Amino acid sequence: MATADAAHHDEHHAHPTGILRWITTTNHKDIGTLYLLFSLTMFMVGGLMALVIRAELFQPGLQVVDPHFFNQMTTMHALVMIFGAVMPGFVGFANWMLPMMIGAPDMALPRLNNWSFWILPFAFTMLLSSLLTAGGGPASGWTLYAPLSIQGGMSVDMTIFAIHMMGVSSILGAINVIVTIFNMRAPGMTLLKMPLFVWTWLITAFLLIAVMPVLAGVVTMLLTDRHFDTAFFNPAGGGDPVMFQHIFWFFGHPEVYILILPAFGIISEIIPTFSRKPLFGYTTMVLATAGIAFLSFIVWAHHMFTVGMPLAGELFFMYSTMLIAVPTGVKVFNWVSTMWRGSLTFETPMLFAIAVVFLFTIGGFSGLMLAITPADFQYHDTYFVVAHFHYVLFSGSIMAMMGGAYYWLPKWTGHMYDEKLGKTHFWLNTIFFNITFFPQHFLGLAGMPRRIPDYALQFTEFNVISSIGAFGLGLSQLLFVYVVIKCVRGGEKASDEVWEQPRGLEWTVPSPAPYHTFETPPRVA
Amino acid sequence: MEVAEGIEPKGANYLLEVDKPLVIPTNRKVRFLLTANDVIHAWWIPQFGTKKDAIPGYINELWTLVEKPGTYRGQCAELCGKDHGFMPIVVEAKSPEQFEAWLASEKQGQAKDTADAAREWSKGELLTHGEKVYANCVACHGADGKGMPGAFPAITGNPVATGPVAAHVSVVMNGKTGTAMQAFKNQLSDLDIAAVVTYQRNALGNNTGDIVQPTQVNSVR
Ligand code: HEM
Ligand SMILES: [Cu+2]
Ligand SMILES: [Cu+2]
Repeated sequence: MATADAAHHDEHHAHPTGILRWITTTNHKDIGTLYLLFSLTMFMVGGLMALVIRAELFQPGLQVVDPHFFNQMTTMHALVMIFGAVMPGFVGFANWMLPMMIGAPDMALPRLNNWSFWILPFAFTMLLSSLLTAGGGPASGWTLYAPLSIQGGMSVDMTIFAIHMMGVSSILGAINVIVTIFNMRAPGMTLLKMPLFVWTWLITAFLLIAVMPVLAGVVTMLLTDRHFDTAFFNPAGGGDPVMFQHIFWFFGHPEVYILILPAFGIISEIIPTFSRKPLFGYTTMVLATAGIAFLSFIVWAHHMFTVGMPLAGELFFMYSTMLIAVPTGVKVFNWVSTMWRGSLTFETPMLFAIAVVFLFTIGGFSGLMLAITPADFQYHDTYFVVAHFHYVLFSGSIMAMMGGAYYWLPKWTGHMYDEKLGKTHFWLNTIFFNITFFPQHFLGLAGMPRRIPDYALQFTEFNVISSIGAFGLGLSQLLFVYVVIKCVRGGEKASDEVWEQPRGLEWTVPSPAPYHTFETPPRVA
Repeated sequence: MEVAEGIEPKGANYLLEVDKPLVIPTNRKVRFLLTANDVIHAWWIPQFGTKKDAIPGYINELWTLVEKPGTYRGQCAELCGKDHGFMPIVVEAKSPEQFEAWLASEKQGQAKDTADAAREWSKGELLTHGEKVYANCVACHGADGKGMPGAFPAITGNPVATGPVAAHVSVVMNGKTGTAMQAFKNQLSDLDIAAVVTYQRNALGNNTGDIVQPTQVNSVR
């Protein structure tokens, strides 16, 4: 462990500049920036793929791409957004904010930190370049269901290898988070005084360590089925295609909570600040987070209600899934209660936070509908599911990150962002989001299956609306990029506190936060 | 494809039409058994309010009770490859009386097919039927059996059509790899194949006198 003194020296000597600074950096703020920029880039790449999908679905018939390429786009869009945009985005927030929030000088394992980031560009180069192989990229959906994925070309192997690299990166990042939180807290910062963002990340990190190896295992079994004559999932050799789904979703369901818990953390930081009240029910928030994490391990087969499970299995997974709505409801209740009788103001981060609470709840309700086994027989694999997971992932995870970015940008850059443009971005984003995804509920209920490149004529109107919304949504993100760049390059000087008496150690250091914060730990009362 | 690409107009049931619908009776519980032999598909008619995966190596079951006679349309619901969007399902629900009538006529048709395939056919009968079946061949071999010199061989005087019978039957059934000659085994019945082979050997300028019976074709299936 470097002493404060050594770290100080570092700053004045031998500090590489230019590109080398970014390649060799072990500083949590630099690495956080790298993660956030990577996430934003992947968000744009994945977004372009989504626009290919929506362009094809604008009208019935095949106009833009062929069905095989369409399948590659749905597969890649999901992999890029989940593993490239949302997960690294949250790690970026963790890097920037965790040390500042717990009063630590840096992450506990800085070199590991550097490495866990720099694996990612290689992983995604591998993944994206698989589109250029003979036969194109992976086309079996992000869920890679066997036996379909056993049949794909070399791109499936590249995808498997890329997933392994992403997994290593996530696990290393998670180890770093856990070690940092357990060892680096400032004196007086007991576990139950930690900001909620820290708590949600601590629990997320445990989820990551628990399930990323499961994903690695299942894709490795797929690899050996493809090339080494095993038959784990291949019925022709006595294997079981349903087992693939069980193992995949044992990873997959906790994964969706990996994608949302840090968002809950961000929302729980923003709402108290703009309500000018402490978070309502802090302890129940922590317990609810832990409860959700625990339950997330025993609900996986709700993704598989139509494979033909025994009745007892269907009942168990139905009730366990519905149980998750309880701790989730506690959270929504607490956010609303925090706002209750607060002196609210509606700066951009708060607008995003309120929209997340509202829209995520819609996604939670559709999740509850999907949890009801006999109803899911109808909804499964339709656009209703697509609408559900975009309400929890886009208007949950992604919009929480946007809110978080507006909230902390002044701390990161030292400048206020352009409030007017920020609000414009919020409204464009939120309106177009709903235009894109709300009609997809109706499409699913009307009987449109997901993952199809062409559709029967009765689905036309809602698809037209959805595609128009999607292009608006895509374009409105350019405004976000512009606001961020503008804020980095200048703007009104931000004060240390930035907002009105916000809680949290990050607001006690100057804006922009110095390269090394808390060389001497603060005392927490 | 031409319809999908907008060259031809789309009908009201675009993407939801099949050549042979599944026929079930109304007001009776119907049990479906589902499996697949390549990848996972899912069987779904939205109006039946339920769906189930068709999984290789598994037999899944599903039941329904349809009250109103009519045509019910659905699609495969599990991603199964590039043609996933083009896997329609059509169920024809008939009232019990109509269903019984349909069943009887199907049974009759089947019984007739079986009887036809089992009995001895005269040369005249085979030639008359064979001329009709030959419609499958005219695109390449020509209505007069002269083929297209350089591209497709003539049937008239062709060594296969005038040589051993077994080899002739085999080419029609299995096709000839590396050429445009396709296998007709799954497309034509025993009777069709027997008739068209007999026709080729005794018409279009050939006169071998050979007769091929449906039972002979069946024995080499
Ligand atoms: C109250 C909470 C929730 C419940 C009860 C719930 C329930 C479900 C159910 C039953 C399904 C399976 C639907 C089907 O395929 O037929 C599903 C799918 C999905 N959920 Fe949720 N969900 C909840 C929250 C979330 C959250 C927070 C996320 C992520 C941030 C999420 C992401 C997804 C995704 C990505 C899928 C689709 C996966 C796929 O098939 O590709 N859900 N949800
Ligand atoms: Cu789930
Ligand atoms: Cu399919």
